[in-house]
Amino acid sequence: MTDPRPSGSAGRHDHADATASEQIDRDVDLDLDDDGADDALSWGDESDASHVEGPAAATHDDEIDPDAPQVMSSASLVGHGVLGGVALLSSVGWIVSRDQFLVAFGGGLVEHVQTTLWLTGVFLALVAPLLWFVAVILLVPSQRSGRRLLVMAVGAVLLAPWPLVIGGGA
Amino acid sequence: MSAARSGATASSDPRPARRGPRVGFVLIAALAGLLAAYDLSEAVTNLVLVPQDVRYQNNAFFDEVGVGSLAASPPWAALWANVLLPPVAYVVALLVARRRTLGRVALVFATGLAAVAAASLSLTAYVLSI
Repeated sequence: MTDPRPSGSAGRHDHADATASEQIDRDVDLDLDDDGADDALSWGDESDASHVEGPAAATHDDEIDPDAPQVMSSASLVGHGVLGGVALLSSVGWIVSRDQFLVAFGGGLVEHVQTTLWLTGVFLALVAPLLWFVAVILLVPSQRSGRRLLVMAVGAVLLAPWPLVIGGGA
Repeated sequence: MSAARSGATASSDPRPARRGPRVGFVLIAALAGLLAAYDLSEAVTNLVLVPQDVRYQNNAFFDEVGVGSLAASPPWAALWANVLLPPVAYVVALLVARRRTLGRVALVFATGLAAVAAASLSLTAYVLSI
């Protein structure tokens, strides 16, 4: 925010040869400059009889608005992109290797329940990398980009499609 | 345990608006706990059955006839890691999910269960590959 009174501070030094009325004017001006600038630039609110809805006045609290999207550093942005891509590729890897996990336990009722639980687990495993990525985005504030990237990296190692690499079956 | 503690806090809270989310939290945590218990039972099954595999049963015989280098040891580290994984992940999810909205609580527990499922499949693939 720029100083609204660029010549005000210089004007204070010549008060010795200023008249009393000029001094009073300057005091009034200084008061207006101190806290009245924003009032002078607005034209009342909805309760004003002459109110006409116009573009919203520019606010000066953009920097401290907690809901505003934060501007990330380039490195953090690249890290998000890379780790998001890794999560996507990991899920693709799990989905490609899904056939080796699709087993059934037999025909009885207990076996049906077991099979359902097993397949639920397999489905969760297929989407685990993407779920982890989304959860980190939603649960870790964007200001903590270092912690975000760390947790994402842990997930990338933990949830990589290792069975595809190792080649073992279920 | 932690869920029971938050439930007690909610019931002592005089504001009725607080009860809804807490009940939902307990329900989600209980469902996730059941699924984690199933993961745990699978891991315990592997911990018991894999060391009974034929290839681990002949070690005494191998020693006796002097070919001890053929002796094979079960992958205890991987088997125990698979047993520890579900409870550890559940406790971590419980801690992360505290004081969050219901949707995020569900997301946390779903992510925890998904991570356990994927890591368990990886550990199983490792156990079967050696």
